[in-house]
Amino acid sequence: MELELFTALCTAAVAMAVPLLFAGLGELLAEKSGVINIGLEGMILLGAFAAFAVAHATGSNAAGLAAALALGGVWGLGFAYFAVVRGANQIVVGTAVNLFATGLTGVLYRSIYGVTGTAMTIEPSPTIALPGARSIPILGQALLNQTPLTYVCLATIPLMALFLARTRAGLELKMVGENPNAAATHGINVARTRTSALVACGIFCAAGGAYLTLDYTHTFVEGMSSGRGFIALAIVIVGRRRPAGVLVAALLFGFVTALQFHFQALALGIPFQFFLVLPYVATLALLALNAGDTNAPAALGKN
Amino acid sequence: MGERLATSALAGGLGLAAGALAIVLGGGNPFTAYAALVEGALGSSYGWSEVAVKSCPLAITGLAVALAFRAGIWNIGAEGQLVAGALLAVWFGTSMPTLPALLGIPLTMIAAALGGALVAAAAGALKLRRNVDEVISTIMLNFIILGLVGFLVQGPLMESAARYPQSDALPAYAQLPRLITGMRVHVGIGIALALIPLAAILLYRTRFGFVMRASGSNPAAARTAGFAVNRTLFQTFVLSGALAGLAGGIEVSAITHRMYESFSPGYGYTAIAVALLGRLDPVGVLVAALLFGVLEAGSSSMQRVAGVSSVLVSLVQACIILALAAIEHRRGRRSDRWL
Amino acid sequence: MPLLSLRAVSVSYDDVSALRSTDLDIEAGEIRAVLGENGAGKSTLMNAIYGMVAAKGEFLWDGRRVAIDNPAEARNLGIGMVHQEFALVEALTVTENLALAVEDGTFVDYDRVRQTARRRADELGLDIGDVDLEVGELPVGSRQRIEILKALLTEVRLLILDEPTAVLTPSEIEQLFAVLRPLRDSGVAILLITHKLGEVMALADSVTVLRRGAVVAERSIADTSQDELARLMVGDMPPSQEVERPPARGTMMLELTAVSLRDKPGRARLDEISLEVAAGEIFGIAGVDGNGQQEVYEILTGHTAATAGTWRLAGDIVHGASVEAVSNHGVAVIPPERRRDGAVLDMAVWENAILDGQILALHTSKKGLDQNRAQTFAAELVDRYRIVCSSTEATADSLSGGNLQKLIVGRAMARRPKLLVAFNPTRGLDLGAARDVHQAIRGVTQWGGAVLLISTDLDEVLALSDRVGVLYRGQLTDGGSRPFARTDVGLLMGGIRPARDTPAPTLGTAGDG
Repeated sequence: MELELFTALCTAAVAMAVPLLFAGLGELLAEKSGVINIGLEGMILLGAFAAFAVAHATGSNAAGLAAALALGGVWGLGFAYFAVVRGANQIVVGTAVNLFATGLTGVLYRSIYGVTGTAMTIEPSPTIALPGARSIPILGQALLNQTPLTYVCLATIPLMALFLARTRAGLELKMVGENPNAAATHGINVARTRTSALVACGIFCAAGGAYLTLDYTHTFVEGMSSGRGFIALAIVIVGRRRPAGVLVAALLFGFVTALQFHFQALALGIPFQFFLVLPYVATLALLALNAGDTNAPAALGKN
Repeated sequence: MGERLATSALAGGLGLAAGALAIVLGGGNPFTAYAALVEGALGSSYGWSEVAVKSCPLAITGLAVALAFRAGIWNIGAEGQLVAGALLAVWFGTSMPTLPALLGIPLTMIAAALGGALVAAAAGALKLRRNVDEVISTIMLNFIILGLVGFLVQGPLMESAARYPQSDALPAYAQLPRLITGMRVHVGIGIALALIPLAAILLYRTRFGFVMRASGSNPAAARTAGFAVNRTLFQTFVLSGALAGLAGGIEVSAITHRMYESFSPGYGYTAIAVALLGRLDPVGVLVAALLFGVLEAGSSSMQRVAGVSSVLVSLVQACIILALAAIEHRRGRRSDRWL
Repeated sequence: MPLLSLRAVSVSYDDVSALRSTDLDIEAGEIRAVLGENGAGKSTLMNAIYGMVAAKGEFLWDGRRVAIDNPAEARNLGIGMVHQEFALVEALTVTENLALAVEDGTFVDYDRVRQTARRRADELGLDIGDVDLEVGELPVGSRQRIEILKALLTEVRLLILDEPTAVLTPSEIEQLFAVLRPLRDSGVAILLITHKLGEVMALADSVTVLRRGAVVAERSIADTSQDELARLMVGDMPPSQEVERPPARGTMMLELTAVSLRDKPGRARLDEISLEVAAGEIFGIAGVDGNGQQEVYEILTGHTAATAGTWRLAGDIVHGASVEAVSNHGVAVIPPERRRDGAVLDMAVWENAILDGQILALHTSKKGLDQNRAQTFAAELVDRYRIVCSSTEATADSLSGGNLQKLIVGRAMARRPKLLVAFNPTRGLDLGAARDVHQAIRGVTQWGGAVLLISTDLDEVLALSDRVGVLYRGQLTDGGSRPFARTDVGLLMGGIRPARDTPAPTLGTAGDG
């Protein structure tokens, strides 16, 4: 395979992986606290829209990002209100979040920007080349010549691992997800911990959405999250609910997704839909083979 | 019953109010928009026909979801099951020999139900045999089916003309007849209407329905009572999938006649809102499906006349679900704060 | 001055009073046992001291009035607690479980936690093993040592132990005592919740006896005896409400022969239980919760298969575990947790009346579920058992506990079972409802059925049973037949074999440990 093609593939893989990683890390926190959030898809979409709308209006991508993150936090708080405070079913709330996001972004997009034939675009976020970007083959281009948000995303992985492995708050989070009653005997407020995790989850998802509009497509298209929230759900499972595992799974699925773009060039003789469904098939296979040993928190999904 | 009706009405009102708020936020006039919606849906016989056309798959998939939820099965996969049903119907319909319609249509419908049932059975087996959460498995299956359709309509099932990524049209003897010339209202709506009382009888008048409801509400008590809980759950998976598949079969047989990638505008997801608003009751599902049918049928006219995007409907549905969730909060919290 | 004084402390759950106006004092360097039957309010009292439940009344710490609103405040005062159901997270390592008790900064230094834990464990003489294993991999004795270590990692002035020996082997209990005594001598106050009389006598300096949510006696250990404590704990109820029935000796309805149940690590949860119940007979199993009652119940209802031994229903050997098969053999069940296992709360009263495989079969035909007949049946139950409900269409959760239980009992009776298995059938019921339930249970014997009654309420067992066995640590000991020696049964429940009796014959082949 040509080096150039492979470099392009790896670069695209990282770009595809970033939103998955953001959402996956958010879901990781939520699940560690015992809440399953199937509303990632909607949260990504809302973040993407907020980032685009504010960046378009102000001309500042930073303002767009800030707006998206703030909205993501509010969104997580809303999820917590229904699922934690009111004790509503987490699946029901997640479903509603996805529908809500589709509706809200669609209505607002069309009423603000009208139904124009040409897509509205914003200034692309600049890429920053780190030392080594040119000299290291393949990975230099893929990892060291990226947008700031990509660096933030990649830096979050070790931070998240550190948070879970070394901090008091991380330990409290794990306890709440595994055994809320035991957590309560330590004086940990279960509802507050879960709410915080969901707010963080909302912020992470919004960051993933903001990446899509600000760094990747530079525009907004209705429904542009296109299933990424569900792949994120899958990578959390495939990554066995560990930050490093989520990273590997995200890069793997990012690479697989990137393959479709270069599909014809590659002439692999496999239908490209195979790559599209690979994350889902892999998740199902893993769950089926690993029954009972998925590293899932004991209290996941229970109110 | 009155209280439940009031709760549903309140949630419906809150959903429409939230939609109005979104219209205002976008600089539109909610009254104009809703008036256009109602006019579009109910202002003409064509509109009424479209309401019936949109309500039909919602009612059947709504039933599929409601029955599953009643048994405590979180089937998020009605979408995939619906598509799988349509897929199998098309495969069967386009490959079977020429048959009289009296035979061709029922066989096509059976194929559709089988398609949905197979997908749901997979999720059921994964849950009961391998302890895989059905929420995750049905979501994953939705996307797998979607990918499969994409592959098939560009490959083995692609139309003979090989121009567009879509299947051949079903032969006439596999098409559900339409009732009025120039309108899309079709015989399948009769099937939906017949399924409502059948589902009600199943739920409330049979041993199976009784055991299913008991298992859904309190599996521990159902086991103690000596009911075969796991068997009932698996059968409910299959039944739910068969209904969703049938909905897909009716849709492809009566409306689209062909299979293509964006075949379903998310009926299987809207079905969750239909089932919840209908309070998991067959008659409630019918009412909710009609309401959402009006919203869906009128939304394009709303978009045309008032410039409000038709996806507003999703927003309204979401707010109805959330309102129901907030009203129906947990009862009987214990007085201790920490345990 | 006492270290901790409680003045008029009360706790109620959902308007049900669990602890009534309780006073308690404990001094530094004192081990005070809190003794009582199940439901006497012991755990509630301890949870109130540890800030886990909202309590009314006054708490004085060193004579100063304090509010203990949550466990963090209790820990800050210097109160540590060893919970009955260990408050450990199985999926986390020992170190992680201990960390929150050591570290209070933003970051957790697990090396320091390890060192602190090992050092403290050495000081206390606790063998905690590999601290990097997940708690879920550890045997129960180790878990308890971790739980104790967790409570003692910080400076603790009052240590609460909630039934600490319930799951320990005798040698593990000795080890525990060897840790607690020096702790007391160093000035720590210890509150020990237990129902085991031998432990009270062996370890405690003083004892507070609780009965039905109130303190009934306080004694210094020097001034009391096991007999007196047993009497105080179970009460001096007159041997009334016993209805004379002719001793029936028909066919054997239930025969257990050396039935054992071992859990995964191989520990015997039930150790060669043998018993026989004849037609027309009521056999009562007394004992304190957690001594094997749940296991007996689960085997007899088909939820769990015994790992050894045989059991027969009316002569037929029952293999494996199947609720359906057991039910078809003519066994009816009154489950211990009526709201969890006995009813579907959001279904109607009439639907709950037929919530049973066999009764449901009687009300279904080819034409489906016969609602009218089911309604009539439910109305008859409501009538016969005086169940108060607005209508048979009302949901089951609108019924009071007593009325719901009468519905469950009536449903079981309607099957005219060959064997009725009743587990704590009147727990939490008022006297009127309890009397109705007892009357119904006695009724089983009239058509030649047998009853196996499992109850942690000794009054109930003695009032209903013809013969009694006592479960203690998975073993069943003969408690005699009518008229019962109440205090002796109380002693057996506490693991003490009555001394003045001739050696108690055992029902099983195993002797009492």
